[in-house]
Amino acid sequence: MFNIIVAFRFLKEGRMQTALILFGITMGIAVQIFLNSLIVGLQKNLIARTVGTAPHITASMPDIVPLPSLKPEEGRPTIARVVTNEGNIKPIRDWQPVVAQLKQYGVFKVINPVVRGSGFILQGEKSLPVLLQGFDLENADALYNIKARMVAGQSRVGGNGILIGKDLAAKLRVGVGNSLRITVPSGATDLFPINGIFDLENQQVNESWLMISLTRAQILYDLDSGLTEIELQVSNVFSARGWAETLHRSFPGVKWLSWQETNAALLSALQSQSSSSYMIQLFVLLSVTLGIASVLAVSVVQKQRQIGILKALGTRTRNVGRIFIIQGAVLGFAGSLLGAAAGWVLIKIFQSVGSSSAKFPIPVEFGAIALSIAIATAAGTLAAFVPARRAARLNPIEVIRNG
Amino acid sequence: MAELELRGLRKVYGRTVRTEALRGIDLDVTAGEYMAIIGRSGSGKSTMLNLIGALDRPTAGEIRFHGKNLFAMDDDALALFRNRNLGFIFQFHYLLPEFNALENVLLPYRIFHGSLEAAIIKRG
Repeated sequence: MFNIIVAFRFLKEGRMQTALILFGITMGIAVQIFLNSLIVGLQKNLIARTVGTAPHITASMPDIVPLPSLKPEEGRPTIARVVTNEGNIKPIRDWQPVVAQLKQYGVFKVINPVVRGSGFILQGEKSLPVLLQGFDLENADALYNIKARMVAGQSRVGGNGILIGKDLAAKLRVGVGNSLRITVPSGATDLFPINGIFDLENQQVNESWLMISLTRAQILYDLDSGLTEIELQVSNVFSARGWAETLHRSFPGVKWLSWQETNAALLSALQSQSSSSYMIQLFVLLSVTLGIASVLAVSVVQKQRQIGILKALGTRTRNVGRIFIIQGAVLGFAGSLLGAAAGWVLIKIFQSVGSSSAKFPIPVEFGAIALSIAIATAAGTLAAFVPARRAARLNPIEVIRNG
Repeated sequence: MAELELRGLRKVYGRTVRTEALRGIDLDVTAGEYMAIIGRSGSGKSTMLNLIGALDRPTAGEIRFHGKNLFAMDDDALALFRNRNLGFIFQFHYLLPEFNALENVLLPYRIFHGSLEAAIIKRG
């Protein structure tokens, strides 16, 4: 109890010294918290942009590996021509029980059965390639947010009615009410009236996507009631890889591909960004610790007389050490508390002043801030150990004899 | 019987250059006795008082207080002994600038008890 009083008195008496080190810790922790929040916000934003309106797991049938009909014999050259099956659509048949079981898991926000295929539009002498997306618009809207991003017409497919992207519409100079002649690789062709025009904020999509009802697409590609893909979204985006593996065990005949596998480059970029942020935070913490240690080392020398008197009056060795350990903990805690407040202000300033195009929400995570404060307090306590040992070892007679 | 007994007390300072400050002091002090130790500068008065005050340890000999040898105690026990049994006025001014006059007077009490009792605070 008395140790705490002495520790606070010592800190109070060394005003300038205490203020400077507190300022230093505040700056360090503010930078740490700001940087951490910035990186977390940036990554969340990047991930939301990448997979927010995209499937997290896509199911399709594995490609058929073509095999030569004549097996090569050892030592004898064999001529065998391998014909690829590329371009052939291998449908997922009997998908209804699969979807029923997916629903039972309860973790999939969106389950979107899709028939996807290529086709081309003939208009005069022009022939434009397009990607036909056959799906139920209600399901697909949950994934691609189509209804809110219509620029003309209605978000309605059915019969031969289709939706096209705004860039494709501009290219073809067509609008709602016009019809397009679409031909698929098998040769089937028909006239499709445009019901609406969408803008999914992605030029490639707006140029090539063409939405059609699931049933019409199945007929067009001669799939009976089969699908080419099932698209899934999970609540926690990072659990996608694990779920893809689980699904692979349950349905080994189907290929389940998570977004982490298709976006490996993005993930490794995020990872190295995180690790560089951790490095910076580590060094900030290290300099905070060294700062506290050096201030307390100086303080031990300055307070030699006081330490001597306290010991002469009966203060025990370990209590003398505690006086300095308490000072370290108090500096670490108070400094990081101020630093957390300063970091929060820094985030608010950054969000209100930052250029409007680069704006994204920076989350202020209470847990992360509490962790920073806890770590800084622990570091301050640890930093005090060496000075505390020196203070504890001080012999009172040395001080009293030398005045 | 004497409350305080000094027996064959010796104190040597330094290792390479040895200064013998006390050479076998024997002294008895009884309760209620006033005593003045007079001597020239450097004759070992302070050395002796530092030993009696349990701030320093002798090279040889012992000091007994109520029959108990002081220097058989470890540092913490000695600290407690100083706190509970000794009053010491130092040669130089030794006050803690972090505390006011009353707090300085009450230092030994607070070192032992941790905090002040309400009655003492009121009297202050």
